[in-house]
Amino acid sequence: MRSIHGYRWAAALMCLVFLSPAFAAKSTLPKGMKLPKDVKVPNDTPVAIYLPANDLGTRFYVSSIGAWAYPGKSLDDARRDLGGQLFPQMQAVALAESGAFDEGSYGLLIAINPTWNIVAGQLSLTMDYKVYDAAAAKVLEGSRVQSVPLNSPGPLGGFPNAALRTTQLVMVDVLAKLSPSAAKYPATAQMSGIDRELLIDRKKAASTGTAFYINKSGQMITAAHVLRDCVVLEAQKDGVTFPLTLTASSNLLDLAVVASGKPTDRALPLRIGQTLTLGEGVTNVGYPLQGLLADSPNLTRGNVSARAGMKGSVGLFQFSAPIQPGSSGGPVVSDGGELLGITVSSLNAAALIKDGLLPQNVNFALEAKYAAMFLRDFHIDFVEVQPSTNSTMTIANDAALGAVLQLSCYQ
Amino acid sequence: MKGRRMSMNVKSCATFMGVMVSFAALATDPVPAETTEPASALPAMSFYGSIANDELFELVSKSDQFTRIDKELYGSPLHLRVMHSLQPTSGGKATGLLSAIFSGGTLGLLPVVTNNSLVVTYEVRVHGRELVSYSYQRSFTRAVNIWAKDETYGLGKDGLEWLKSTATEFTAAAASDAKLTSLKKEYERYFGAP
Repeated sequence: MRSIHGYRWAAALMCLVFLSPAFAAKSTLPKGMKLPKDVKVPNDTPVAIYLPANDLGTRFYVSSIGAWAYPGKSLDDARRDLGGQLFPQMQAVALAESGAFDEGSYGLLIAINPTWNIVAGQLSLTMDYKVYDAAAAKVLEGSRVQSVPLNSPGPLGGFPNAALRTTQLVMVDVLAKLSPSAAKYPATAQMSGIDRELLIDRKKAASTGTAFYINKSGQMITAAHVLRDCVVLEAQKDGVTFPLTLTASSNLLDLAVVASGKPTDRALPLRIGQTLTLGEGVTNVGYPLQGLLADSPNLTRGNVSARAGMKGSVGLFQFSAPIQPGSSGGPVVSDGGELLGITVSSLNAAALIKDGLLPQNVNFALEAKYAAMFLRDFHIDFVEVQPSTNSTMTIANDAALGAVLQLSCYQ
Repeated sequence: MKGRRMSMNVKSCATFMGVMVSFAALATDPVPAETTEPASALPAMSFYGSIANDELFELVSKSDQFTRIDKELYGSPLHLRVMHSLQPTSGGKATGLLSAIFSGGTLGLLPVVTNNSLVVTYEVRVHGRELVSYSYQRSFTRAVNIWAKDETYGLGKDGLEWLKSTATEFTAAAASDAKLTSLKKEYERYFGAP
């Protein structure tokens, strides 16, 4: 009996060892990798890890196996589980709805830019990373790649597998090359004060769109989805680029107001009462297909083709002036030079073609009357004018072209 | 510009038009009593379930908050999505492989034993952006005769019952969700009460 009890104690002791945080953290190291002896794991360095919001939100349906793939969730889980195990003080750098970073402080900032690639059943994840200290000095830069079978373990199991493995390699790089500790990298930097240029990928905008001046102080209206999760938001007009700050936003209306701080005399007025006439001519101006087309405004003509949008939509009208990706947030302007609506969406032609339907110029804009309500709710100035009796295409084009700006959102 | 994923089903459109014609034919009938919706009813929103679409739709639509969900509101800015993932557990993979070999060896007389982890997530999205999300998870083992017709979406009877119970859990949680209350208030501010 005594010997059996002895085994039980030994087993209990083994369990305690295996379940201890230190053992768990050590056991997460990749095969064949060793850390310098002076590196403690779990590590007490206050680390902040940034991943672009667009990457964290990625998911798609794989019809061949009838299941959803969640690459974004895999990245987030790996950051939280593995990052948190190796660095218990780890915090995620996350943007609040207001566009500000969450509260917190850090000693090391790790900015990761992930890229997924699938070739012949093999899934690879590349993580380019940069590490900054609290003084925003770059202390490390590198890239790690892991390739795993897409469907192992289990259908689409490659996503969490690759995310864990690649995150692990990045974390080991940080531990091995910097030998960090709380004493070496104390939490003296505030997340709210992060230099946003350290985080973003300047090579390619995460999203692009169009905005237009709504008042003399230089505030602009655009579609809210253009600004979604922007770490840096900029406007370009006449070859000049300047930063913007978010003033107000509504996901429900898909509407936002941003401030440039640059006074203008080219703001678009709204019609008093915001009336809309079926069939009236409209001008739409935007900056579509950024990177493909030259950076000059794209002007199209059409008319108000319906007072409502698709079944179930609210607040939208239909217009026929052609639009492209990047036109979102642009103005739909009457021939009197008044704002009639804000471009928000288009029929998905690719989806309809599969059903044998080819839609033509079915585009949607939020009615200006909702913009007026929104602006009043947030005490944002705008101008209302009597419906113009002098209506020409030239007036519409001049008003729209003078007011629009190109938007670029970086993550 | 964001391209919305929308699709139009000609067959469902024809059905809808047929329903409209039927209503027109009934126009001379006495006007039915006006239906009153619960004060807590959320605005109309589209519904999609990646599993047990009809069953979950029926259960969720019975709750006071989601009386106005509809599978064909293609243009709605509001969406209720029920997403699922079904993954074999680590033990379940080995068991499943072994029992599949036995099952095949007996020409299907012995059932295949599987152990899966099912995660179900209910999301309310506004113009594609997640507003609220509730997830429920359960692991379960089931024995499947490879020749039997499966009407439980691969979940087994118990699994399907559990899946249905998540609809009740979700609607109970949604009833006290401050973000959904705020959404309803904003919607009514701009577009009026449902």
